[in-house]
Amino acid sequence: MSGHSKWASIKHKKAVTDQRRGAEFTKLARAIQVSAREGGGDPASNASLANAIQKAKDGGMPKQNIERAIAKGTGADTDADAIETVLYEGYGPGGVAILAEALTDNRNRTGSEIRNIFSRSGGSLGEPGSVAWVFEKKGVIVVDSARASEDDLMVAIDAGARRPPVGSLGAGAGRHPDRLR
Amino acid sequence: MRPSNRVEVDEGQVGSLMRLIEALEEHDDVNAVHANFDVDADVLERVAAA
Repeated sequence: MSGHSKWASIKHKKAVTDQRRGAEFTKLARAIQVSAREGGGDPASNASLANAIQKAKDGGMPKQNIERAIAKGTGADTDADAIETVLYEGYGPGGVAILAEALTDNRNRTGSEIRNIFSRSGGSLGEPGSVAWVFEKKGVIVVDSARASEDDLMVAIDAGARRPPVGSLGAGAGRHPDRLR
Repeated sequence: MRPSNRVEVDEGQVGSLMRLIEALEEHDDVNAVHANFDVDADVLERVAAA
């Protein structure tokens, strides 16, 4: 930017940030919408909705946006398009299995765009089921070590939980635990 | 999501793999991307710097 006016460069930066925030909010709102439709609009009885709301709050999304997304999901707002969850499975360069979770109101559009991204980068979009078997859904349960001993966790380990790391909660702990990157 | 197996990737292919994953993550409709690549942290850093 020009460098003569401080506002010009701030405005430029702000426009970029605003755009990113907008895109992020759209994603967060969609996640809330789908959770609300699948499990009801009450976060107390709908864990995935509570989770989606928490992520939206962490992302700095305003409360009205969150409420509007819940209303859309439960059908209180009738002009909402039906949004559904779609899993896209494919392979990247080097035969790496890639699973992309998408929320879309138009499968055809999203499908062809995702296919495009894959083929542009030397990958390929596979059939449903071709890749999903590689991944196992895991969650994270945080336990207060002052109140529970390792013996108390044996129940969880017997039930298939994996080695619980012991440590204090760092920055970002508990956020997007299901993400690899 | 946790992969049950991992795939090692040649250093030459890491760049295009990362660009693919990034492009997917940046797509408006995509919520999360999972992949089972196995790449050393220093290789990742070299590729990111290149």
